[in-house]
Amino acid sequence: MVIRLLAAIFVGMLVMATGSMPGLAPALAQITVNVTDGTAKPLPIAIPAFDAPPELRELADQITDVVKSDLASTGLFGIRDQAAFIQTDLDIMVEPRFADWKIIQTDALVVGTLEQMDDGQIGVSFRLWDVYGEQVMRFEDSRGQSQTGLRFVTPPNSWRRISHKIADTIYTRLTGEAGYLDTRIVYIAESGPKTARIKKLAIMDADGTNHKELTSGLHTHLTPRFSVNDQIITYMSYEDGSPRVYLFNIETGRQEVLGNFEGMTFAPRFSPDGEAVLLSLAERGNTDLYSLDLMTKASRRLTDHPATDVSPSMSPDGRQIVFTSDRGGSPQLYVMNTDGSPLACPSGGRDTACRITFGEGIYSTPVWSPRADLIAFTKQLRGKFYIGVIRTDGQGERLLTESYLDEGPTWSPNGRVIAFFRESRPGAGPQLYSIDLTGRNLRRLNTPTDASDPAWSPLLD
Amino acid sequence: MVRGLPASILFHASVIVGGSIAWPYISTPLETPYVAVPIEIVELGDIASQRPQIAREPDAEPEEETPAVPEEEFFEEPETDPGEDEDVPPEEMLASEEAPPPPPEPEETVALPEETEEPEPAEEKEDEPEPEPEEPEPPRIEPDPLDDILDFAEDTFDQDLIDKTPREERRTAQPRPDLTDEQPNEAPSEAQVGAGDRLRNQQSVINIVRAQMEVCWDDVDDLPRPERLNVSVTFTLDRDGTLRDDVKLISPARVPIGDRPMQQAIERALRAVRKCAPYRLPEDALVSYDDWKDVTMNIGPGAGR
Repeated sequence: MVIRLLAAIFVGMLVMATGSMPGLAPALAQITVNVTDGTAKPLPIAIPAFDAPPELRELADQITDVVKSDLASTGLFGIRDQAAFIQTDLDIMVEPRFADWKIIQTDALVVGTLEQMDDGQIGVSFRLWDVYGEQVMRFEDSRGQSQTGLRFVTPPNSWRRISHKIADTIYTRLTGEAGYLDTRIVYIAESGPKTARIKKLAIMDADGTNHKELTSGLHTHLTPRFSVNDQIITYMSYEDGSPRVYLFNIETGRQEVLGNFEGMTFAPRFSPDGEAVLLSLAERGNTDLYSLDLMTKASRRLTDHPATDVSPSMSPDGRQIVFTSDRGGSPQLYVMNTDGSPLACPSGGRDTACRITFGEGIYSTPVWSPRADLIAFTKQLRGKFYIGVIRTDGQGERLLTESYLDEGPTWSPNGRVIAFFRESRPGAGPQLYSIDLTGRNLRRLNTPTDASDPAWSPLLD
Repeated sequence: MVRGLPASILFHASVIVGGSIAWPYISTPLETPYVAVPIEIVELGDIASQRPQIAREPDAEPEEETPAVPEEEFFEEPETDPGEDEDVPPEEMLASEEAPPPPPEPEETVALPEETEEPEPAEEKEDEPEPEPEEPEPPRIEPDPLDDILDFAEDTFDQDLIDKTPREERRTAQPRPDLTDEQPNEAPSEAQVGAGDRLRNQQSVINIVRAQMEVCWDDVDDLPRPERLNVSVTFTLDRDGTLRDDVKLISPARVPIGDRPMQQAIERALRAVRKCAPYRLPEDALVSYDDWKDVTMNIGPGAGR
């Protein structure tokens, strides 16, 4: 009996031991997945034609097309083909059927509508939907308030501006970066034979539309630059026979010579606050940098060196200036304090100007990024030209483009894209191009004539 | 002796039943290495071939799932701000092609587009819980501690006599054809899978989920200081790879106001997790579903470090 009892207990324990397996579950109950590598690819976005009453139908299609083409031009969005859309009864007041948009693998959906306002203007309203999150994506309005949708009101003839603004709003919401699509680019429109080249100042929207010539071409204009105020341009012109820096007001068309310098002035660029112009002055066989206060017209010498110092560009905080100098034997990039005080050089020691490029070749036309962390430049090496970027301490040089002649980088106002001009082969006329900071998305900016010396405007008001 | 036999049988049976019910409670904290137990050889291929289809129903029947939200949930009558609509400063004054010395005249004046804000009708309402979608969401399988015990008890007895439909589905009374109809009777329960297999299943789920996320996740390398943009989320997977509930943010605890890069990183992480669903899961791993259904996911250049 006792033996049987013991046997029974043993069998019971055996069963219990067998049954112990589910008890392991809690120790294993959760998994942790670490994802460190992603895939940078264009964000799929659907932008169905904006809804509109019949009389605004054509305008609605035009606006939709510009929004799509703007976003596509950034290289960061994959615009879904309208033919693939399942839901065609979108209404800005009604939540879309997210499942219909998931099927076509769309991450974001823009729903917009046009309406005629009483005062003759048009109102363009739009919402942005997060398809997989199944919720509306909120925008921040101009007062910093969170909104589920935005409306722009405008006279019908500025529909392009509205389209660019909508595209910028969507771009900013989806990338976290400031926009740059509602901007313009001023450039030099070139025509005629090499021996009698006509160079006019011209301007266009950043998407390559709305070209306008600002000057007649009687005098040659070079190196235009925008002020932080998007109405003022500075450039160099041979108007009175020798190169001089001028100011030009786009709004009034007025032009004035800048400063009262005896020598030749060239390579101008505005300070980031728009209150001064930095330029190069060639005088008695030497070229140095100067700053000219636009209010007081007082000039200040920035460098005093027997070498040639040209192409100054100020950092966004106004504290430093990058420029090109051959004081080291060949043209290289240097950084100095705006107030002329010595600074600690990345390569060691203290000096009034620190060399930041040490690579092979010639560096020129430095431009400080609006984001402050990078400097764009033109590099010439073994018969090729490159547009590149380098950190302000001289580290991390990256070449973004290469061709027979690439020159004159200019930053988009958000510091994400660089425009420049290219001659792809000897004798080919210059053309404008843009490249993303990542080195991807090289795009030609179409111009009616040959074009050089692009300068990107700030974001328009 | 003869009389003692029924008593002995009764005694043994009570020990077996009692032990099978009580043991899981007792053994819960067991952390020692698993005990090797005989494992029924199961043709995983058979299970694989009858694996529930990945649920695509939400896509298939869109009309039912998302009822149109009443208009008042969105814009009310949009209004323009009268103060902003007027007095529009001119812009885009562009010069014409006139003779050189006199400066070009402006030839076009375009009024600035004005941005007017919506009257925020949806501000509060948006925060309210969304109307529950009526999509054919798979029935929720609430974890019930009793189920483990009862399942085990069932496994302990004659399997042919017991309805092998998962208990949760019997409880919900909502048929789930993809599981109930096709679940093979011989599907092994977790009790029949060794802990080594279960660990291996976990690892294969981790690997395959990570591989899919690496395609879905739009990384943050383009944002300033990406090394700090690490996001942790948690979610529960259903057997068919769909998300049982929406993904939850656990780190940072909330979307930081004013930190645009981090806001972007969070949005991209959440979007990737949602977009990647339904996850394609290793069919072999379904037998130990409870071991991997709860997922914590660290997403970012420094994830898991």
